[in-house]
Amino acid sequence: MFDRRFFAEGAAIVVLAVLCASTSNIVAARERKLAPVGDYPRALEVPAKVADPAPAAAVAPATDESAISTIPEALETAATTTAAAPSTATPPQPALSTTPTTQVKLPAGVPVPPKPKKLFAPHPDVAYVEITNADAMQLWHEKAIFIDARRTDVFNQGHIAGSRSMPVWEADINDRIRAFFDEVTNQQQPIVVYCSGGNCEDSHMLADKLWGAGYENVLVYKDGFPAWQRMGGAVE
Amino acid sequence: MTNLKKILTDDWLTVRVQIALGAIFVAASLPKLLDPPSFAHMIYNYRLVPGFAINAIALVMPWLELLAGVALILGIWRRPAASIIGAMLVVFIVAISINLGRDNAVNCGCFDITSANKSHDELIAEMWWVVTRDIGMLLMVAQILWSSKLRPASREDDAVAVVD
Repeated sequence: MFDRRFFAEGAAIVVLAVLCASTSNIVAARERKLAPVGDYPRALEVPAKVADPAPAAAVAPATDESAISTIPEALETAATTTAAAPSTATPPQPALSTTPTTQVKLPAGVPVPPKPKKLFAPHPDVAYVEITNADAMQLWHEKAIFIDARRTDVFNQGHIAGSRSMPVWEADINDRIRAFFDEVTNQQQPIVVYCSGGNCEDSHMLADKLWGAGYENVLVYKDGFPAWQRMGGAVE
Repeated sequence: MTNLKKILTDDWLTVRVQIALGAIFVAASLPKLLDPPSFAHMIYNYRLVPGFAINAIALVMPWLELLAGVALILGIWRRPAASIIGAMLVVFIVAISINLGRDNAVNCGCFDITSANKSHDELIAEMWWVVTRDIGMLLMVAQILWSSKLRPASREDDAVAVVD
């Protein structure tokens, strides 16, 4: 049964598969290519179980800066950054709601005291810090750099307004990081990376790479694009 | 017992099992061939393959599935093709079982390599179903190998010829 012919034919199938795989990868389009040798340092780490998200409430996406006024206060309660390198604990998930929570009405003419803005200091010792929806919104209004780690075709379907695409699973990711490195020379400015929220780890993987390139203030917007859409953040 | 053996190793059954199993593997290979990065992501999610090997597996495995599947459909190189498919099924069953054991819910990545928005419990239920399905396909492989073992060497690649 398992004679010389069997092994010769089996080896032929395997060799043919390797040849076809190499050829197809060479001729593949940029977003379909893979580097032959992967670079995924956490490939053997089992992630902590993430709680299933609560059913999302639909909110029409905003297209201008008035979007921030639609953030319920509930989102801002969990605005504590979480040091994570690598994180195994699940940070508290802010409850999302479409209805504004309790708001104190001030008499007319009394100026609303501005909320103190959070500062995002560089953190050279850890690869990234996880941020909340409110932090992401604040940083977006402060014109921080936003980077989308999802695949090119998903990015093209919709992304946070003004964000750049750096699909961490595509073969040219290192070239894109090199180009970014040449362009963004201030390595201490906040850089927000995001993907699809939930179990998505692409943003963490990209944050690791950016930290490796020397960026010291990478912030992972863990809830990602779905949460951004739910809270009415600007998309394009 | 002899009757059962005769039925299970009959050419008529073997050819149909070959074609069905081959078609399943050809169908499974196509989405992976079209989008290797997504398949690499699926392999990564299993947390069983060292990082350096993920891309190579994502590139080669779909071609192995396709070539072995086509070989079974055409009835050529059927023993090695069935053995390769059997080996892959064993690997799939072990990989999914390990992740079931550690409660790591993963998309199977068998026929669909897009990350469906499924809950943890839905994914775990799906993983149990996938293990059951893979065991079923492993039985199909066993049937092909058993019947080819009983077949005279001269008729080894004739199985497809008996299709009317």
